[in-house]
Amino acid sequence: MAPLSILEEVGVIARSHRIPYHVLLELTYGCNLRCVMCYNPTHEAVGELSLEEYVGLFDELARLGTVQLTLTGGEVLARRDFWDIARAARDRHFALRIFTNGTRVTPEIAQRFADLAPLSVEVSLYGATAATHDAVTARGGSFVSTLEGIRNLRAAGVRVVTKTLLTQLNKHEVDDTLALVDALDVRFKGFDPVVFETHAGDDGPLALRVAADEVARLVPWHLHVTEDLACGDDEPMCGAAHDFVSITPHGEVYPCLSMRIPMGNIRDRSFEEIWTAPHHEVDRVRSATWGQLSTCGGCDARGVCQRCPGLAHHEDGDVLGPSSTHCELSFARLDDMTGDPHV
Amino acid sequence: MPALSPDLVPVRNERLSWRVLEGEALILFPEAGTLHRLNETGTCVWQHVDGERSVESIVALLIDEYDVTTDEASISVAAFVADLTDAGLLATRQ
Repeated sequence: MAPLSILEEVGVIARSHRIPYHVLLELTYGCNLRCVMCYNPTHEAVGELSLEEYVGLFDELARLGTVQLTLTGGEVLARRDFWDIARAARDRHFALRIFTNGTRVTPEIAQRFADLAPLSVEVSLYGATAATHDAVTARGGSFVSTLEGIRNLRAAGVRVVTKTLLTQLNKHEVDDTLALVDALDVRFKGFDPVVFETHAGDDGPLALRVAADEVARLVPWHLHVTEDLACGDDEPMCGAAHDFVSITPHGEVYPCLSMRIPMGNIRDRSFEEIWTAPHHEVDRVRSATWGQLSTCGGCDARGVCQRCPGLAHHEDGDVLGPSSTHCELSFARLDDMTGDPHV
Repeated sequence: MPALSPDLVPVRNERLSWRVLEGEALILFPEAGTLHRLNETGTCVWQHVDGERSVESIVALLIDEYDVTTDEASISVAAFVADLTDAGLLATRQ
């Protein structure tokens, strides 16, 4: 067996001791863009956790062993107290990954990001032209301001990561998007072909999905947003509720942004109580290993599947079962690789 | 290894992220792209580095907490400070 890297070792420690190593915080649903496929249910900044509530949460998470925080929205800069929240997190030595749409990142704001010494700042690019990107964001001028924001971040020495949600609106700009990313000199995380319905249950965005066989033709496999693929039979099926958890702007805790199984609200009881309390469905997620997945465990496409238990739960009703979307994507990928249509 | 002045004060690099997990400090240095994991003794020293304590004070604390001689503790702390300074995790000031 190859020696584990430090990070892998830490992952094993976190999972075996159920340490919430990585916590994703949606700080706000407020946003200055109106992306047509956004899962954000309201775009309204109401009833959000206060700075004081975040400070209390950070103290608790630091005590429990959380290392990494992802700060996202909405748009994080839509919160007037964003810098106070981010500084409170850094004062407690968390490693920060921050998502922003980049439109408000002036040179001064970029320097403030740099001062936080983040692991990365992630910005979504929805195409390679203003016409395409702005059609997705439904805000004219957003492409120009996002590129300006990325350039300002790079000039301030921030590690910028971009990613692209693949939709019907930008599928014709795959090559041009890659060229743009090269020109910007930023890391590209990949294309993500999975458009979700909104958290409010509106399935309108699903009409923007690109068909699986077209995804396979358009996007080389190595350019997909990928997570760990080669999971052994004894390994957990994903990190949700093992070493990862997400919290909404209103304090609701979920195993993952895409696994909408309510675990509790930190306004009602402490995060630690929520994290450690028995929970039938979450405990099923925690105890499941790849080898126990009756359908997916022995699937031919397992090696190329990005199976998401959250999507499986949402689409097909069982976190331990397959997700229709990923079955389609994976078999289309397999067909494309082997040249044989899956029967 | 050259002797480390006991009056020096080690100071953590403020741009690091770190946490103690299961008794061992995990230190991320994003700008250098490095990740460090300290053993139990290193973690103990790391936690005593507060930007105020001198090397001499940290050596004294180490002697209190572990069954080691002054020489052993001094050598350990000097090596620790040198290694972590080379890695950009610490600096020292008078």
